[in-house]
Amino acid sequence: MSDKRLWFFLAAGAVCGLMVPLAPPDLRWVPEVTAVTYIVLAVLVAIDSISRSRRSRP
Amino acid sequence: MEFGVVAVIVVALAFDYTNGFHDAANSIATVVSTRVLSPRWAVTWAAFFNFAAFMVFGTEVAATIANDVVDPAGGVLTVGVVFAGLVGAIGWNLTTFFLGLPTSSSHALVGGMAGAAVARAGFGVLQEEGLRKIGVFIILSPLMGLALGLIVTLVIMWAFHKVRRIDLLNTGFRRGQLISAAAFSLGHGANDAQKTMGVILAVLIASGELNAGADVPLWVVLAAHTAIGLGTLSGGWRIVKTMGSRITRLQPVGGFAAESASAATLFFTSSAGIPVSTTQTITGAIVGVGATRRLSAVRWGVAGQVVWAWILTIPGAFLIAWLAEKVIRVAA
Repeated sequence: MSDKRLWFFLAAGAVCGLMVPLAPPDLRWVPEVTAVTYIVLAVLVAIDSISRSRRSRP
Repeated sequence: MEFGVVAVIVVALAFDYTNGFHDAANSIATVVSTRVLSPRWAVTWAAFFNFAAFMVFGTEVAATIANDVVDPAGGVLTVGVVFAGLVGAIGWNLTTFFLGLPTSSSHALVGGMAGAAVARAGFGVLQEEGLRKIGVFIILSPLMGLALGLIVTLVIMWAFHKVRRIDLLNTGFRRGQLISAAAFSLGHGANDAQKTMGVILAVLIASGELNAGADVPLWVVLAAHTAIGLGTLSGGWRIVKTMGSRITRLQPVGGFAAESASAATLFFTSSAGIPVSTTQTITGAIVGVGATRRLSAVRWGVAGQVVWAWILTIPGAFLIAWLAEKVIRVAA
């Protein structure tokens, strides 16, 4: 996977995930939602990257 | 009111003023870099909405600063400790300002208050839960800004993908940026002015002028918003340059997205009583806008320099405040 954004989003999602147990209980949903958002973004970038590489094949 | 209390309030308002020319300038960086407003009009626009924020938001962030960094019931927060904390925060802000580095006034304030209190009574006086909440959002706020900046840009790209006249689109978003910049300045005024209110509230409680748990008096709210507004009016162009053009090149669409994303993050954190850095939030959002193209559109060298300033802010302000408290005690 050549798109660096995939690894960036996965790393950002992991950092947000690490914040979940540290966040106050009433605000725990914030790092949870942010982590899920980054994972979804990573998945979208991966799908985009795969479809681009298929299109560019002869 | 004692002379010492008045002196600390004046220094707190001076801190708010330095926050204005240091942090508030970031709120206009994207408007200036996309040439929507001239620098003079941009600072006037931002200063007005910095001031107007008191009509929209409560004082939850002020309560967090006054009660959740150092235990207010422990008797550690004296007038001298609050003063030393402010000296630490202002000292750090001025150092980074003259170096042309963006930093966080909020983190400098938290680091300063903690450093002065620790110098007086050791690490046991720090409020673990409050500091954990602030610490978690130091890391989360730029990531929230980044994700929102990216999502807002993607939504705009999707909504307007059939528009062939890019110049017309840019004209529309130039106007839109006036609203997004106003929203961001509103969020900035709400979050940052409240930090000063928190310090003044702490010193009023420490001196016995107010009872513990008292609300922020209206004159404190108005004074804090006036000070940050005046600070914004007085500039901070070195940092505008760093934030507005050196992280990534922005078009009006990108400026609109970055400011809207940052404003949303600041509205949320201000309502939840979380002090965050406006600099971090807008930087995250600008990186998010740049990342819709590719990560190489972001100049990571500058972004990395900004990150280093963030990492150094709390220890730097902590150390200056620690030294200031020791000097004040010896002098007293």
